[in-house]
Amino acid sequence: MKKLLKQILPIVALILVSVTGPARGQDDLTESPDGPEAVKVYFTPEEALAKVFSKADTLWTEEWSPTPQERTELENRLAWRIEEETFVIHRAGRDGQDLGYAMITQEQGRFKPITFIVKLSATMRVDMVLVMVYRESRGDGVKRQRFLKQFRGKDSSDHLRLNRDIVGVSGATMSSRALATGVKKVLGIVEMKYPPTEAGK
Amino acid sequence: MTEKQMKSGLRLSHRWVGTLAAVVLLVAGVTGFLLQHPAWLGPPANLPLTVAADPLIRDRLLRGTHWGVEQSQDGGHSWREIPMLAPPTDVVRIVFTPGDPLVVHALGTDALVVSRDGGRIWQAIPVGTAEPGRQAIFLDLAVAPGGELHLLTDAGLLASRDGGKSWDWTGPHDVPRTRDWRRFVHDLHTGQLAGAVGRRVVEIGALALLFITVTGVVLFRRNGRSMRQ
Repeated sequence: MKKLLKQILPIVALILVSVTGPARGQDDLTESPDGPEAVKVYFTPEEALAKVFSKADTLWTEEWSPTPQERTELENRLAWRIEEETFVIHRAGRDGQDLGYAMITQEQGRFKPITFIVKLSATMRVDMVLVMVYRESRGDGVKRQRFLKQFRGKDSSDHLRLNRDIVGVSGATMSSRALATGVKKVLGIVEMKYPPTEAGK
Repeated sequence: MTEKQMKSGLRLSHRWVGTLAAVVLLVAGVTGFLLQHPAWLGPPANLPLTVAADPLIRDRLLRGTHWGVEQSQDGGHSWREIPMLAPPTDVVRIVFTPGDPLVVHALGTDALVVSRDGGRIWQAIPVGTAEPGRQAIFLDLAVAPGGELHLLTDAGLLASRDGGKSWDWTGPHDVPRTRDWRRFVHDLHTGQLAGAVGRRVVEIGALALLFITVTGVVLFRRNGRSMRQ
């Protein structure tokens, strides 16, 4: 009997690790026209900002409504029509030192939008990306740092093309693409608002 | 043939057939594992899928590829990617609107984008297919002279008379589709059928198969040696 238990226990432990491993987040199962929808909130805006600016002693927010000329220039840079009127950019500092920029943004996944935060360093490179809210029942592998850490160190000169510059999550192509699109957009917006000379590049 | 000889022959054939089965299982495990990590296989080939000539600019061509849209200014001798923010993949059709050639549509198998300035700035056109839980596969696009869009999907034909703001099915679209068995088998093979947990189980299973095969070969060699002695 002991021998049998010894054989079975590691297998049970392995299965338990597999099942409980990825769980973090509060599942709020609701019905949607697209079928069962699982809204998973991994970070509230406050939690996300605290995480990306963990060393900050000062946090402030700036709103930017680009002029028509700025909007045209931004659209030319991204080769993409920009719908938003205003952008909210979070900034932080510590002992007078600039800790960079963060934007909470939303991009369309397969059926539902994905909300995430992109944190840039003072030199306009991606420091951190965190998925805050995922609203679909499948494809939430994009929340893992194994995928998200690929964005670290990228700047606006990087194309961030899926499966070339960034390897997508298998079975979550649309979500992976949404994240890559959002990060590229944030890089373009923040660099447009705070040109490199001002950022101390 | 004595009973002893028969048993020995059976044991031997059992071992070799067992080895063959182990190899097949190992290949299945390793390929399943690789499908979980497509980056290790390198990027897919960037095949051109369609081409369209700009009616306004001589020698300017746009072509759709696996990665997005490329343009040529010299009649197709050299090509440069249009670096749009969210390019569609597998672009199967590019259409310059008849009568308004500054409006260009590019259709990927899962996204439709439009440019209203001849291909400089693009934007996505959301296509509501009213298909619960399922994204239709886009197959082809036709643009009428007035700008009316006709989008052929694997679920039926969609039409938009307002530039893509709203879509309506044209004709029957509730044809019962056969299940995508290729997709199903792929998802079963990689464990994606059960989401992240399924993928992890398949990865562990593949590693377990590797362990069993290697230890099986070691035991096979040891047993053979002891039998010969």
